[in-house]
Amino acid sequence: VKSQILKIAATLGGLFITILTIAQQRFPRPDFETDYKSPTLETPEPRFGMLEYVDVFILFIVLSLTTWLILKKRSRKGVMYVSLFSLLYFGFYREGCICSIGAIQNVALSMTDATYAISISALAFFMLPLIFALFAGRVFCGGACPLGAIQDLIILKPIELPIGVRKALGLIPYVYLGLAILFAVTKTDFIICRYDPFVGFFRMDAKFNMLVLGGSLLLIGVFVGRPYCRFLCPYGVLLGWMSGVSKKHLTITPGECIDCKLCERSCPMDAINKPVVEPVSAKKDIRRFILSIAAIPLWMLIGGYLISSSHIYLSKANRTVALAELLIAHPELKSDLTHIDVQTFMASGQSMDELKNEATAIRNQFYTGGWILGAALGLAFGIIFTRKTIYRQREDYVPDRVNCVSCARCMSFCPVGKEITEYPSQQTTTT
Amino acid sequence: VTEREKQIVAIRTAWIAGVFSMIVGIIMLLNYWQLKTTDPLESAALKALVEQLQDDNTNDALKVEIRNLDLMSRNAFFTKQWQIESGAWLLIAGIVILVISLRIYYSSRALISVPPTRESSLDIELMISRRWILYTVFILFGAALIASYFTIDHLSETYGLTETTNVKDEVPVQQIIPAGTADSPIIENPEVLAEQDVATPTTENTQSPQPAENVTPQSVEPVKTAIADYRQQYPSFRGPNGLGISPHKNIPITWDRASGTNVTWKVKIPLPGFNSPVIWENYLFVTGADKTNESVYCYNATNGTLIWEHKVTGIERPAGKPIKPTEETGYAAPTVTTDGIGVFAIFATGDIVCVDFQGNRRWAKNLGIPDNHYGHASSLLLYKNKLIIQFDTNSGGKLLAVDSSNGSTIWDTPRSTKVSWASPILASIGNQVEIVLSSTPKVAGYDPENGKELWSVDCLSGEVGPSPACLNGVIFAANEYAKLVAIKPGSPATILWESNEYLPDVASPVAANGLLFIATSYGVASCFDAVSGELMWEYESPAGFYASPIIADGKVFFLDVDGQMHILSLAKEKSLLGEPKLGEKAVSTPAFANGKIFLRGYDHLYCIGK
Repeated sequence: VKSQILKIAATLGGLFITILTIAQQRFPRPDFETDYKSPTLETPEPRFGMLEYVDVFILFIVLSLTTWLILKKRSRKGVMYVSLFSLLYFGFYREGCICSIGAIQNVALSMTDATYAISISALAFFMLPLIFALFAGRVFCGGACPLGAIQDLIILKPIELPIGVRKALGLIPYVYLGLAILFAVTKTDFIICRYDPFVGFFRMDAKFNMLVLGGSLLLIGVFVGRPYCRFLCPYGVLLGWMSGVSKKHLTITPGECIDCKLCERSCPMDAINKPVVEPVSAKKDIRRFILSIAAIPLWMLIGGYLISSSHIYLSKANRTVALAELLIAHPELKSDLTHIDVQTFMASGQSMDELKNEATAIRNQFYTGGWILGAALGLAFGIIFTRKTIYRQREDYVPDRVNCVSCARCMSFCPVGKEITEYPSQQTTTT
Repeated sequence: VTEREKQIVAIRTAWIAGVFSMIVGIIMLLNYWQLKTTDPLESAALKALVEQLQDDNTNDALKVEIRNLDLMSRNAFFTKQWQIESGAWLLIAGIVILVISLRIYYSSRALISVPPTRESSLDIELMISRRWILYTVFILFGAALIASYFTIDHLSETYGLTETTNVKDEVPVQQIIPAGTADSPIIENPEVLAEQDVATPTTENTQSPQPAENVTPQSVEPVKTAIADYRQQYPSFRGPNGLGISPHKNIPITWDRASGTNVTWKVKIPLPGFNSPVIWENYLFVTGADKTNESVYCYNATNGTLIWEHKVTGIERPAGKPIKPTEETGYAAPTVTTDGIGVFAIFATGDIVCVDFQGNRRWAKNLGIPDNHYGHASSLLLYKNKLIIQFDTNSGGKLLAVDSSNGSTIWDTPRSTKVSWASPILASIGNQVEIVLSSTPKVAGYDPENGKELWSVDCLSGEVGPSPACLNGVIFAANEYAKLVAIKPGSPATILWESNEYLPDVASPVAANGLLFIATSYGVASCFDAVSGELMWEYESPAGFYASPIIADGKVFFLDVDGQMHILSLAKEKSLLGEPKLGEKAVSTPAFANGKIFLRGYDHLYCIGK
C-alpha cells in the first residue's frame, strides 16, 4: 500500500511541478526604470493562463486527500495538516480568492445574465466541493476551506451551545445565501466577498470594521467552534444539502459503536447525534407533522409577500438606485466635486431620466426577486420546522450529516479498533 | 520533559504571547485612530496656509512653506501606515504563538470523561428547537415588515409625469407667424404690457442724463415714462416681462473689440457680478458685490460714464453663518429691475434695496439669508406696484410680492419646491396675466394679484437654473438632466410635448414666431418647432452657453462663455449671420436698447452699436 501511495504522490508531484513550470505569467508586470512602485491591488492579481487551473488542480487534490484521510485513513492529524496547508495556500498565498463560497455569486449571476461569462475555474471551485459532498460529506469544510481552517485552529475551550440558540442562529445562513444570490443577480454587490470576515487577514489589508468583525469571530471561535461556518456560511447550506444525502460519510467509529459515550462531547460544532431510544407518541406527532407540512405554502406566501414588500429597502444597496435616490433627494450634490459617484455620473452624459429608469428597472428586479427569495426562505424554514416534528430513533452516536464539517475530531476519541497504546488511556477517566 | 513542565512552559509562553499581542494591538489601534484623525490632506494648518496663498498667490516663501508642511504631514502619514503594517505582522506572530501554546497546554491537560447523563429528553429538545425556529422566523420576517414600512422611496418622488403621453394630438391650432416676416415687431403677450400699469408714472419725460463727470446725483431728475414707451425699455432680466424678446431694431451683427469697430464704449465695473444690464431710457443699471461690499451702479447708456454708485450698507441682517456662494455665481448674480422711478436690486445675502434714479435709497431690507449652496441668483420682476421675488432655497421656497413703494410684503406664497436659480416671467395666458416659475419639481403659474397658485405640473428635476419661456399662451421649461417640456396651462395643466435632445443648464429658453430656442452649457444651440416639438436645427459653438439667448431684430443672439456672439436667423432654417467676438469671457445675458447691445463681460461693460 505504501509503495502505491508513493507512486501516486510522485506522479501528482511531477504533474504539479510541470504545470507550475509552464504556467508562467504571460504578461509580467513592467519593470519601471524610475523609483515608481506599483500600487498594491485591493484584490489578488488575476491568474493568467494555466495558473488558474493549478488552483483547481490543488483543490481537487486537497479534497481527494481529505476524503481519503477521513474515510480510509481516519486521521485527525492528517486532516489538520491538510487544512493548515489550505489555510496557507488558499488563504494567505491566494489571498482568499477565488473561493468556493464566493463562487456562489458568480454562478448565480452567470445563470441569470447571458452576458456574464463565468470562468471555468470559478465554476470548478463551486462544483467540486459539492460533488465531493455528495459522495463523502463536507470534506471541503474539513480540509480545503481556509475560513474553516483558521477557525478550527483556534478552538481552545469549546462550549456546548443551547439547542435553541443553535437552531435560531442556524437559520441565518439561509437568509445570507438568499440575499447573496439576490444581490448578485441584480448586479448590486457580491456581499459574500465584501463581508468575508477573514479575507482582510489573508490580504493584510482589513478595514477597521472588518477587522473588528473577523477578530470578534475568532475570539468567539475560541469558545464556540467555527461560528462563521455554522451560523453564517451560505455555502454551508448547499454543502449541508449534499452531505445530507451523501453516499458515504465520516463515521465516528470504524466498527460497531460500543456506546462508551467518549465521543459525545468531542465535537465543538455540536454535530453529533446521540442515541435516541425514547418511545414515540405516534398519533400526536403525526398530527403535528401533517400540520407543519400543510403550513409550508403559507410560510412561502408570507415570506414572499414580506420580502418583496421590503424591496425598496433592499434595493438601496444597489449603487445605481442609491445614486438616483441621492440625486433626486439632494440635487445640490451634483456640484459636489468630492463625490466620486456623482461626478462619474455627471461626466457620463447620462440624463437623470435615464438614471431614474435604470434604477426603477433594478428596483423591479428586487421586487420579483423578493418574492422568489421570500418564498424560498419560507420553504426552507417550513422544511426545517417540519424536520423538528420527526422523531428518529438511533442506537449509536453518529455524525449529523448536514452539520458535520468533517474535521475528524470525533474519530480520535473513539477507542474501537485501537490498541491501548494508541489511546491516551493514562489520562482517561472512565466509569 | 514531564507533562507538568510542558504545561508550565506552554502556559507561560501563552501569557507572554498574549500580553505582547495585546500591547501591539493597543498600539496599532492608537496608531490607526491617529491615522484616521490626522489626514494630511485635511490638515487645518495646511488649509489656513492655502487660503492665505489664495489672497497672495505671488508669495513664494509661502509656497515653499506649504510644500514643506505638506511633505512633512505626508511623511508622518506614511510612517504611521508603515508602523501599522509592521505591527500587523508582529500581532500575527504573537497570536500564532499564543494559539500554539494554548493548544499544547490544553491538549496536555485534556481528559476524556464520560459526559453527565442528559436531563432533557428528545421531545423537549425538539420542542425548544421548534419554538426558537419560530421566534427567529418572526424576527426575520418582522424586520422585513418594518423595512417595508419605514423606508422612504425617493425614486417615486419624480413619478409626477402622468399627463405626458399622447398629448401631441391635443395641441391646439395656433397662429404661427411665418418665419419670413420676422422683421415685423415681435412683441410677446401685448396684453401683459397693456394691462400692466408699469411705472405708474403719468408724465412724459425723456430727459437724458448728463455724463457722470458733469452731473452730481442731485442734478439728475427722475425719469418718468409713458406706458406706450414701456416696450422701448429693457427693464428687467431678459427684457420686458423676462421673456427674452427685445423689440429694438437695427442691432449690429458685427463688432470687433481690438479694432474698436462698433464698440461705442467700454467701462470696468468696480465690483464683480454676473447680472445683466437693465436699461431705462438713457440709464443703465447693474450691480456688483463681493464678500463685504454691495453696490448698485447707474451708467449713462450713451457714453458709459458712471452717473452714480449706491453702496448698499446698513441693512440689518439676521444672525447666522455667513454665506459662501460659489465663484460661478458670486454675490451679485440677480439682475435688477426698474419701473422708471425706482431701481430694485437683490444680492446673495438676501439684501434687497430700492434706489431712485438719483441714487437715493427709498427703502431697503433683508429677506433672510438665502440657504442656497451656489448663491441666490433669481432676478427681480415688476408687476404694477408689486416687486416679484422668487425665493426658492434649500430651507423651503416661496414667492413674494413686496410693495415697490415701501418694501412691505403684499402677499407671500409658500412653495413646495427645491432650491432653484431661475427667475420669474410674466406671461399672458388666455385673459389672465400670470407669474410663471420653473423649479424642481414643478413649473407653476401664479395670480400676480394675490399670489395664488393657478396650476402646476411636476416635470422638472435637478438644479433648475433656466427660467421659463412663453409663446401664445404655451409655457416652455427645461433643465439639464430633466427634460424640455411645452405646457398648456390650465386646470389641469397638460404637457403638450417634451424632448430631451438638448437641455440647458443655465441659459433660459426663448420662443417667438412659432420657434423655440435652447442654448446648452456644452455649446449646442438648437431650434424646435414650438408647436410640435420637432427639432428644426442645431448649431454647435466652440464654447458653452451660460447667457440666455435673446431675440431681437429678427435674429437670435447666443452669447457663449468665451464672449463670442453667435447670431442666427429667427427662422426654421439654420442661417448664421455673424460670430463677432467680445474678447472677454462672458456669462451675463446681453441687453438691447436703442439699436445697441449692452454686454457685460467678466470685468467690463460694453456698448455695441453704431
